[in-house]
Amino acid sequence: MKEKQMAVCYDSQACIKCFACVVNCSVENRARLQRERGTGVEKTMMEKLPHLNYLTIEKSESGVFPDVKSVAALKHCQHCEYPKCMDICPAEAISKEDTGAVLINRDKCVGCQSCIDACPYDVPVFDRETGKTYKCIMCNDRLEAGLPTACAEACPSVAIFCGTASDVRAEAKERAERYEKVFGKKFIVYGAEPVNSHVGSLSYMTIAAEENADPYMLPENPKSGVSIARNVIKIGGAAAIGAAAAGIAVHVSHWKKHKEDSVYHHKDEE
Amino acid sequence: MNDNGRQITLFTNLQMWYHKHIIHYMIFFILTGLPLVSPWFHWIAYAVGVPVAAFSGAADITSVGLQICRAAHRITAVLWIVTSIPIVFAMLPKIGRWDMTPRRREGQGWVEYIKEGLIDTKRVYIDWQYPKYMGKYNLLQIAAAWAVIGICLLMLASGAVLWFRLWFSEGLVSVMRVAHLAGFMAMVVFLIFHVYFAIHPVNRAGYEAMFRTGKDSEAHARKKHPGLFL
Repeated sequence: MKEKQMAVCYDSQACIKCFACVVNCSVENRARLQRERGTGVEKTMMEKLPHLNYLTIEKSESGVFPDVKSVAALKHCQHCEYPKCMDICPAEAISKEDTGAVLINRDKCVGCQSCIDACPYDVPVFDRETGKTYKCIMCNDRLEAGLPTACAEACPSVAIFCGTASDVRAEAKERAERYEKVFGKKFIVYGAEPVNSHVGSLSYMTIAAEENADPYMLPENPKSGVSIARNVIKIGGAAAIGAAAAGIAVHVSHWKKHKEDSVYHHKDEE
Repeated sequence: MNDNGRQITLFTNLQMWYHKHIIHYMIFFILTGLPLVSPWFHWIAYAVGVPVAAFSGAADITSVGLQICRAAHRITAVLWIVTSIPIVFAMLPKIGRWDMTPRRREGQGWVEYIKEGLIDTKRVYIDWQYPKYMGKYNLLQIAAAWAVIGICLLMLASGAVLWFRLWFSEGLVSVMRVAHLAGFMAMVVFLIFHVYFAIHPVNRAGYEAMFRTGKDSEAHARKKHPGLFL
């Protein structure tokens, strides 16, 4: 049986920072508007549509001259195994597909932005024009059609590659091992194994030197405080409501047992 | 009740009017808020969305229903604020005489006051006897009243931030979203107890006063609320 679970991997070591991936992502999303929403070609190309740039660049600099390190990291949905955005969405507009992609259904999204709160990677973007939230869809439509993701297709140095999850994981680990031998420092394949119990493993992995995990926005223990707090409150609230109901049941039983002796039993005495 | 017909006013017409409106608002708040709290209550959004989707041709009925619930939630909040204006103006000047102000007798310490209040509350709700010191409200009612005022202010503030979330930082919106949910849960627990004790035979006179005349016989009030006459 053909493996349905797909994955994408960004190899920061092989990346030449040409950002063709960013451009092609935007192009593909404009093409999607044309073929899926019937939007005119001119309109899709004339408008900026920043919310459709699913891949963005986050540049960081550290150190003191001349030992300065500058990193331009790709920011995108990690397509978590346990998507917190999906759990928190009140409209059930977010789904985890068989391919591993986490999608926002535009027709269902009510624009409440709960997913922005819940995402431990701070990825979803709210668009004021449409009143909806957007994020990378891992080119789920292309993957289902047997095509590579737009970012992988555009990459001239195969720094972004995609395929079945097992193939991508194997290739990524092999590259990381090779880099470790060549550069003599530790490399990680972020997301190949469960990052933590909160998000699980990731369908969009990243190869990076361990020392560069921070600038590449690869937290060791990504957590969404809001998501956890909301769950605790919901469970605690349900328990409190149950306890209140139980307390009232006990009180009613106490009243029934003693109401004949009560000064409040007869209306006349009230 | 044979008490020579002397009556005292427990609730003014304005208080009764406000309380009835609050009941309607709470029902609306809960019905329109629950679908956003959990998908278990999406049936409410679906029920609301069906007639709208029939006319608008919207693709997803639940989604349309959710949007209507969100709008209705906000409209209810505005109506609540508008309705609160007269009660705030009527009550604030009398803040020093509110019945829900904890009042200690001369020379009485806080510990003694609380102990006495709890024993008095037990006398009413566990022993089913008349209290010795209780005024219009018992100690737990006073505590609950202040807690509810705090929760209402929290819900208003957090709701306003969530409504106009684009004006505020993401961090503040996140905190307010959690606060709104926590306030809602606390409010539901309060309402369960409030409704139960309101309809309990112990509080029959108070219930009838709130929903009918606003008055109670002085004879009964002297037994049930002796603190009013101390």
